[in-house]
Amino acid sequence: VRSAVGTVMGDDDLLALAGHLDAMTFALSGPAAAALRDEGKRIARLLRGVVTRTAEPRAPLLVVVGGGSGAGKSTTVNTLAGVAVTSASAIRPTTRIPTLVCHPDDRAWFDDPRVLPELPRDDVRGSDPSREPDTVPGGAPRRLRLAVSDQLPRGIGLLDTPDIDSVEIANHRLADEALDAADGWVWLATSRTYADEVGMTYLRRARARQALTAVAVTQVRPHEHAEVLADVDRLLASEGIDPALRTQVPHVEVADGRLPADAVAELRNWLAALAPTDRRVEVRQQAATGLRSALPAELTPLRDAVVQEQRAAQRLTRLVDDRYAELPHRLDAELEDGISLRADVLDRWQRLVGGNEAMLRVQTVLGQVGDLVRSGLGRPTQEDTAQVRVEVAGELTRIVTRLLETTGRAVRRDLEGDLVGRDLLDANPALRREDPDLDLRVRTTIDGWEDHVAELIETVGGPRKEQARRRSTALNAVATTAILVLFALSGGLTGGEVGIAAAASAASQWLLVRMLGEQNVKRLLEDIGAELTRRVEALAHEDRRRFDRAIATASPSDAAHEALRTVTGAGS
Amino acid sequence: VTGSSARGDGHPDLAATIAALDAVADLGPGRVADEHVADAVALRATIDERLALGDGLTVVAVAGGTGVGKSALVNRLVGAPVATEGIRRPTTSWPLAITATALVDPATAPVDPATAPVDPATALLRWLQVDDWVPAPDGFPEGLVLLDLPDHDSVVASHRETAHRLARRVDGLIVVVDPVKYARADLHEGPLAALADHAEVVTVALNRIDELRDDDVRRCVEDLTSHLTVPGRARPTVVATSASTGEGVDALRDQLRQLVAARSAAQRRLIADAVSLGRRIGPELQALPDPTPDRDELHEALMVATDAHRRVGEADLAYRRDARGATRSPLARLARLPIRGVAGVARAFGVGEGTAMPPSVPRPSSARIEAVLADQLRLATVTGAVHAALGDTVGHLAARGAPALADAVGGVGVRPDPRSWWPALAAARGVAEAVALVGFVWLVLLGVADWLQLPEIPTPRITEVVTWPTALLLGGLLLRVVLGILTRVLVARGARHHARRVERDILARLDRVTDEQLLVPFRAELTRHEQLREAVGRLSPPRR
Repeated sequence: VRSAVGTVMGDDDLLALAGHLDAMTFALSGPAAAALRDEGKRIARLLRGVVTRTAEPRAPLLVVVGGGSGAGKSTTVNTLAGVAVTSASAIRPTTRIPTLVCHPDDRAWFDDPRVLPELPRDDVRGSDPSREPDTVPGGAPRRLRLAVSDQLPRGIGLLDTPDIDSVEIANHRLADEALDAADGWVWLATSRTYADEVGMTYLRRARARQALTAVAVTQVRPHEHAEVLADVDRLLASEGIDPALRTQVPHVEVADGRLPADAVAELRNWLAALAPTDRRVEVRQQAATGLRSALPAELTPLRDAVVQEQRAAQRLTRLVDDRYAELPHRLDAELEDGISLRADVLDRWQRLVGGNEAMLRVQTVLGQVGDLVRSGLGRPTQEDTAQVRVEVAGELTRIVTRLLETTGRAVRRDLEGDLVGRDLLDANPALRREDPDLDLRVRTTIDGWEDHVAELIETVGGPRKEQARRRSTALNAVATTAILVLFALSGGLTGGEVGIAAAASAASQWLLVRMLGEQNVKRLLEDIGAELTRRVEALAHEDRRRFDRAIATASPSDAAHEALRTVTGAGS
Repeated sequence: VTGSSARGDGHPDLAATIAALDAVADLGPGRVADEHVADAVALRATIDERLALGDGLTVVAVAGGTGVGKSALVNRLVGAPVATEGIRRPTTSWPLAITATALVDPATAPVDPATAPVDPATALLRWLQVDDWVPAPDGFPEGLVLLDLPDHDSVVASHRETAHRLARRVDGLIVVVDPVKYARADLHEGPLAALADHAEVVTVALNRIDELRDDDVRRCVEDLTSHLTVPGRARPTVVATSASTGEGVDALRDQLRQLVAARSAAQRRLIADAVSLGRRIGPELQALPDPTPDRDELHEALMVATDAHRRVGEADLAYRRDARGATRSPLARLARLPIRGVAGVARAFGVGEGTAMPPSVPRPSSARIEAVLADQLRLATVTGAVHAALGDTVGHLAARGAPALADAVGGVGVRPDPRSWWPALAAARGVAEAVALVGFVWLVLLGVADWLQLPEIPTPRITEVVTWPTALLLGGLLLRVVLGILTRVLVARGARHHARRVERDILARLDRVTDEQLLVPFRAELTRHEQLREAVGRLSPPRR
């Protein structure tokens, strides 16, 4: 079933998947992120390699010589090439730059950037490569050394890889890359290291890819010959690995980086048999098919990581959800506590609405003259209604701003307590800071709401004779009255002296009912209350988007997840 | 590259390590990752168990990858073929103990092995869960238990588990590598990475040097040494050996003898474990914000959060109202009766039934207090687990402290005590008004009499021009105006004083409640953090 899933993938699907893998960041995977990213890039390369291989069935084969540090890879390649193309030494790891050696006629193909596309070529024609310093301080440069030898059959390129097991992690990557591009593997292990777990994981990978593999046990001393080879066979059988060739290279003296030619006779013959065109096409076909069928298994760790990431994203989103879900309740609770107005403002308001309907008259010319007189005498005027409105807006802004800040702070605290969440904060330092524009945004919202209340009153008021007059400045006063009544009913006005707030509330309400009618007031208050909640929730929604955006940016894309799921054949 | 010179740092002794571990186990939960706390608890248990087994015996394990010649080296060290050497990989499957101390085989012992007293070596091997042992030949160091471990890198997973389990428990380790495997990632990033602080009890043996040329041996040892070098830590001793030629084995044996003779390997190993743990926890424990906020800033922020400024304003207003009411003349009181109409309106709407007036007590939400605290304690500057832990603490304190702060502000009365000069002033204004009234009535009477053309009522004169009624009216009015101005000035001043006194009261109460409910508990939490940091610091020696 698995291989069926792999083989139905067309080249375009593979390239699309490679694109997805290259783009993945694994930002929600915690400490594993870097390794997963590398793995994603590796498989993306592998997928592109599969496509290239299918496009060029008759091209020369790439046979990769792999194995642990000290297994004798370079020595074996030198011996097969009949010339020391790479160097060997006692310092581990020896080879840090992969070397490809092929027949001079095949050179052009291996120079083609489609083969091992991420390794720039390093031409060593004409110079003696063994004299060149092979180890470079400060990490391995990413390049591929190209050498030719007419002792190799046409149609075969031998690639000497860095080790897969030393402390040089860059070496493992290079080796992995080379093995991913291989049409055939020559796997080397010494008689002392053949049972190492690290090496075996690679042989298991070869098995999963149905890669054409030759296993050679090197440095076999005569006295251990029979016992070691029997044990190797037993081990390979127990792992279900059935190499195309299982051979041995005896422990003999190394001269000029090479063994005597007959030490690798079996390997040489095996390689020569792969060289004819028909056989090459077959091997290439097998390698491509094997890689495709191994894709589900190779991609499973990435798919699992993506599933984990989606869970992590859900978990983080839930943290944010939970905090923002509390916000409406907390807003209600705050409003039930009442809005607190400055004592003098409240005092004047009380005198304004309590004193013989002064407000209803303020429109007339006489009223304006009266305003002048009253302001001269320190009596409440039209100015005061505006002041009350400003005061109410200011208090509401403070309440809502504080609510949003507290919620943002709580979300941050939750994220800091979560390992993945902490990474998210590290990646988005702005989330650790408070939004400097919050106050302004809240203020705009509250002002907008107050305007909305004024508009509503125009419509709710109906065809009453005062309507024309209310359209002017008095509208503000009525709107402010309505707002005050809203809070008077939910939690009461506070601040000021005992009694004044209540008196102001009562007087405001009385005034409002007189002007609009009892039914209308009831509906109006319901409407503006709901509208305030709606607008604050919209504000909160906007505020939380910065968290959502950060999570969404860090999350794997749905397309990538879908592509991975399709390939790995996970039903649901 | 300096040798293993970092040893001169002077490790804390084991008692101090134990105390630090206890502190980590005690203070750690909720402040560092759970796994670290679990590690501290486990290490504490291991220390107890190992110390109970005594320091008479030193367990040294020979560890390494498959094929490096561990068993061969063990045989060379012991001087007899006690361990199985083989060609097939991996060769050694079970740990084998070699000890000079005779052991009673529990299987053949005549008494119930569960209850029988056991000798120290048996107890030690039981603790290590090592079943196989062989007696050592003569000349083997007294007090040494040598363990030949299975490999840590072969395909057999159980070998890895056994090797790792024992490497965590033994007192000393000889890590054997060979020219092929000395730079392996599964060694340096595996067992050796966990032993980075254990230089005192770890020796790395580069075995099979007989397979290298002499100058290659030197280069190999240098390369191996550079791999073993971790900045800021001591480096384990490197010995080049050959099990087949016997080269370097004497040096290794001397090392063993010294380790056993010191009888302190177990302690040093356990201390090194604690050092490792300290290094793991250390980075998680960030330095904490300065726990002393600016008092003035904090007060101001709390005044705003608790609406205390409003309360002060109310006090000012209350004073003015009370003073105005009390200094009002009886006449003015009569004139103000219609104002009460407002209360009637209120009753008509069912609001404020006269008794159910909403009390003007600020109710600061805990969110406000939390915001102030987080801000003033500069919580935003810390990140990670510390932020979460301190944030929770602050949230907790704010929730608990908010009512107390509200009480502190609300508990200060805003109504002033009646001043003795109020009634006097009221009386004086009353007198002035009465005088003016008398003058006024007098003048009216005179006017009426004149209009009715009654005979002229004799009017006493003060001077030629000014009659008494005129003087009374004008003088009374003037006095009333002067008294009015005086009242305003006095009331304004009194209100200011009163408001300032209320503000001082509120501040004093806020100060006390802030200290008791917020700062002291917060400092206590910081102290616990600091104690934890210090304990973790004591686990690791100071870096140079």
